[in-house]
Amino acid sequence: MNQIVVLGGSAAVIALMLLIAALLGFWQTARIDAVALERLLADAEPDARIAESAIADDGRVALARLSDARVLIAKAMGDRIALRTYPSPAVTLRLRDRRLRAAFADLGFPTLNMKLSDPPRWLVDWAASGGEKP
Amino acid sequence: MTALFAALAAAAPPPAPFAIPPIITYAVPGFVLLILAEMIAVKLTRKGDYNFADSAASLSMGLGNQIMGLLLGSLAVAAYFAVYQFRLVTLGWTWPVMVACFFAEDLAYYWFHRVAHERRWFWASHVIHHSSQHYNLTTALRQTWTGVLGLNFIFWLPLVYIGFPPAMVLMFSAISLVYQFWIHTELIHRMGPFEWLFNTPSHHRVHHAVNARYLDANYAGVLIIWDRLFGTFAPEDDKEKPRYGIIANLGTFNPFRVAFAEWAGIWRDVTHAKSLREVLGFVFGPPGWSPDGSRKTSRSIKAQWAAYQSAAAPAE
Repeated sequence: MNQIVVLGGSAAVIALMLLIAALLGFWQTARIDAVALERLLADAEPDARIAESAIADDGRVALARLSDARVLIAKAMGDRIALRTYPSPAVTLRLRDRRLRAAFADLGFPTLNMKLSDPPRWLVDWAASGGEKP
Repeated sequence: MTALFAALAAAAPPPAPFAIPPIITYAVPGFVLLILAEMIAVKLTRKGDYNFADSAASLSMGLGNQIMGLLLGSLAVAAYFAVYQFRLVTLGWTWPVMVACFFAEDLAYYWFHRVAHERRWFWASHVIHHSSQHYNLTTALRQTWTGVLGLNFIFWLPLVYIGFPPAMVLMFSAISLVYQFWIHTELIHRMGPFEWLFNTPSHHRVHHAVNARYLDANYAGVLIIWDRLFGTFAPEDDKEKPRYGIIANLGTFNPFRVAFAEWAGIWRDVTHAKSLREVLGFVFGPPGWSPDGSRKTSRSIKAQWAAYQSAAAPAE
């Protein structure tokens, strides 16, 4: 019983801290553009190069094909951007009604949904091929 | 029956001469006040930063860690007492023994922490703490849910085998964890000679950084002397600001995904392994190990960076 009270107290204190964080305005959201994508990749892998990229309309998600055929994923995580690379067979794409869905066999990176008002040709072709290779 | 009581009495560790308080529980109000103070200081000074979603994830992980500690913590304590039965000597609660235990516990922490970065099985629990791309006091509370199930406690078993009382080892472990709370901040730059011996915010920023220069360094708990002794020390360079997180940053704030993503990765790799060698590599090899070398390990990242630096250096 005592432990439940302690846990309840912890949860209440956590809620208080998060309320203060919200009131202080720590709600920043990152936006991805082509320049940011290049810079982030250069920081992570100086030798890697982006061949083609597609950025979601809301600027929160981006998908790119690297020159070595790997897939680069960028996702806004609060005010930071999480960057991941996958071998192309590890990514499953579906493009329908200008909405791209990218799935990975990775519990740490859930399926991405991107709204693309003007999906690039390379992405359309890739998704049409079953997402097997870009 | 007398023989049984005698055996139990012989097995029992010497009692502490003072009441050991619940150190971490008593420290919690201080944690809360410092977090709130840091939030306000960050807002006013714009040094460091906070993000609501990130802090929510970190604090959720801390709450989950607390729950798992209540559910499973006794297993680790039971292991301490079980091993203690076979101790080499019986050490009592004297000042020399407590000083020795402090150093021994800190050394055990260093090696646990280093192995937790170099071996995937232990990394799967520890990666949670590094998975935030921010560095503030809520990051300090971003703790694993699988520490006990992942057998992290085995690194302290040699101490009770030597003969340090389990309660003494647990006390110094708690002190070490409380000490490490305040070093998770960007608000403190350098601390002069204190940095020669002790773990500090600067040393620990390096530890949390994914810059190739800083990867897998500064494993200290309280004392940085072990990193200096074993060659894993790296100083913070003001010309290269740390980038925080992990090499393969998570794309989720969901605490359940955060807690189990690396374990799921191990499972996926093991079930696709083609040999026992591959299974052992995926479980006990370095994080990022792969049979064909297609993935990146810390060593390969550092080697690539060193080669890049050499190539970029001006010719003499």
